[in-house]
Amino acid sequence: MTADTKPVEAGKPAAADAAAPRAWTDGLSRAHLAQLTIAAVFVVAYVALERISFIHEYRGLPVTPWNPGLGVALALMIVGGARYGLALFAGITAAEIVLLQTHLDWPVILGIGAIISSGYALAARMAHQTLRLNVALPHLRDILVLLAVGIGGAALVSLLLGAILLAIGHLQIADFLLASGTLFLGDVIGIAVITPPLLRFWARWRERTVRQLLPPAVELMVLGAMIAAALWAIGGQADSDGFKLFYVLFLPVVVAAVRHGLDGACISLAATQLGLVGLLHLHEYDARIFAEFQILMFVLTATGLIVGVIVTERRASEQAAREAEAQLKEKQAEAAHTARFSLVSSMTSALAHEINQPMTAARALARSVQHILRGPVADLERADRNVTTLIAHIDRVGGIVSHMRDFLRRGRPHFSTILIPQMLGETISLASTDAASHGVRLELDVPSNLPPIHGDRIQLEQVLLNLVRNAIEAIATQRRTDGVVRIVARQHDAPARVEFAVIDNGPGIASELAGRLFEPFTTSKREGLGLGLSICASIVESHGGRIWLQGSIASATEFRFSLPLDYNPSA
Amino acid sequence: MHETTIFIIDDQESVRHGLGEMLSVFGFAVETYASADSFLESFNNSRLGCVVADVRMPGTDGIELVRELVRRKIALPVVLISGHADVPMAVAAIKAGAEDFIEKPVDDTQLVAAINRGLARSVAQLDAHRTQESLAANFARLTPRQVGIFDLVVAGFTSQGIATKLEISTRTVESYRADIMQKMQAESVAVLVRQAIRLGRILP
Repeated sequence: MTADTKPVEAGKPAAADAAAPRAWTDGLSRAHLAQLTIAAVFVVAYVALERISFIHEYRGLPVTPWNPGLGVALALMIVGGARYGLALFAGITAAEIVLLQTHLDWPVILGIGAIISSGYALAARMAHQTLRLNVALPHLRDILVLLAVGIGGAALVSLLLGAILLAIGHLQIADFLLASGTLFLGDVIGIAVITPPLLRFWARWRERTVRQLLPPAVELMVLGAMIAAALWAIGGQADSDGFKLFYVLFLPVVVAAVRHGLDGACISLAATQLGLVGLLHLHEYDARIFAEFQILMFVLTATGLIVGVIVTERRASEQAAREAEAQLKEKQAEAAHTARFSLVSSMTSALAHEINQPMTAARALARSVQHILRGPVADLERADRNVTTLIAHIDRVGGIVSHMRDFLRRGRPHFSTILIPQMLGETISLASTDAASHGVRLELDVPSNLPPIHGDRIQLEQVLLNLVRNAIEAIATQRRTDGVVRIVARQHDAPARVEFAVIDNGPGIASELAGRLFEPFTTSKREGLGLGLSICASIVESHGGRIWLQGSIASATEFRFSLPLDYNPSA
Repeated sequence: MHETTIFIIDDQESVRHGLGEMLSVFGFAVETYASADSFLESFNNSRLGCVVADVRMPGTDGIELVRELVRRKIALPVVLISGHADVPMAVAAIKAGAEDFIEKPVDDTQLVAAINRGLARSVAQLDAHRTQESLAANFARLTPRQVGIFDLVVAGFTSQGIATKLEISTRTVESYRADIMQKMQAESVAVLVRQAIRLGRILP
């Protein structure tokens, strides 16, 4: 299994580039060279970690309160492939000889190394290939898979090692459980504490967001102080009961996990673990306490990781929901914008007329002035009077054009305080030529003391214009001469709101259409898309209001919409 | 020659005033009306000039105005102007008998040319009308006997032929002819023939 031929992971060449000097490319490929370098670095690091992790031989087993080297090894094998099992094998053998100065026979030493390295290589392979572990650990499932794989690997390895030592008579039955159990817990904790932060670091490194791994400095210091205080409280109890205060350590870990998700949990757990190992160096604890400590540590680690990943997961889904909502809003604004264009293009002939009239007058006046000035006796007073009128006409055209441009403005909804009479006046001015050309009269019924409302002026004008335009078209189908569209605004209480009504004396709305008026693609017009009213509905709803058909009989069709006075769009 | 007036009809005050001011500076006598109906109400058939009217107006619109003038046999040229001109509208305007059809904003050269063309045409029509009227009056002064000889003269009979046909002397025929020529103010038989055509006595 060490001759694993799985291709190098996608992220690997980047690390290889950093590790392999360019000149050494003869003979070996750069990728191989990089792997060898990583393996060598790992072996040295493994021995060093074993050294500081208070490793000792217990009845022939390499026992440690936690096994950080194993955590590094598992991370390396998950990311880089099971081939790094060979490096683990080398590291274990070196540690046995250099650190423990074991008296075991060579075959036993090599057997121990082979069992540990192949056991975890198998675990890594399962995590990566069978269980499809996501290396960035974004979901609770990934943390659980990682813990399960670590526990499974540790159980397999510790049982096999115990069995071997039992078989060669190195270990008594009575010691078997304690020795294997301690080994098992140390390995599990090493994996639970070290592997997640390394995988997170690896993921962040690939995303180039390593900086985001650490919480702000102040918070880091507070958390550090909390952990230090908890450790001091535990260590201060000179006797073995010190671990009764262990639960205090949950506080900083859970706080970090809640505040910063999995990354916070990883960092606080690593700090806690380092502190605890230091504590164990200072005090001598017996084997029973030792096991108790390990169990507590594992519970703390599992708790921190699970809380952390749940927080991370929730944040990610909140972020996704926010993005989806923003996207939806953008789409709505886009649809409203398109609808404004079609609304305006349906009135182009009326609007062209609106612009052409003052242009006609202005041009004629300009020619009259030219003629006056070129004449033998220039009547300057008359010329001046005509130029003044001419300027007024040009300003009127400018006003129409800029209002139109405003109305067709693209972009995000812009909420502001709106004076209702002013908004209705602008709507009337946009619709007036269209109304006039169909022989329809527009009437406005607005009390001057209406309170201002909060909203997007352009979008609300769009709703009004759409309703007015529909009313005009409905009347126009009858070719009647007494067509009237009334626009009414009234303030109401409980809840505080303004209701707008657009009433026409057109033919009314067919009852089969009335039920689904505000659904998209509902239309009675031959050239209509049937989107106008559905967009009106979404605009009104985005202002916290609602729109409805108040009633429709021949000669009295009334659309209403209400807008709350206290609407806050960000809420 | 009678006084000619430009009658400007547009429901928009600004356009009415602008065009009126321009044409009046150009030297035309101008009157403005807010609707075709108010114009028709106040119009008196003896007046001369040219109408400049918007096509789209409440009440009687521009094209209906042209038709109405034709119906009332008022020979007033009409130049139509429109802000939303399209081909069917232009065709309808010209078919109805409008002098010209001009898009807003109005090009004054085009407008003045159309007005002058319309005025010239209506003056020529008037002249022709006058001529026709005096011709008919002259013809009415002929006695029945003279009418009979008139018809034979323009039909191409010589004095002798007429004398033989009517069994009177050639001299008498000559005398009638001289009276007829004098009453009809015709210098020659050729002029008399042309008058006969205008009067519908013979086919050209």
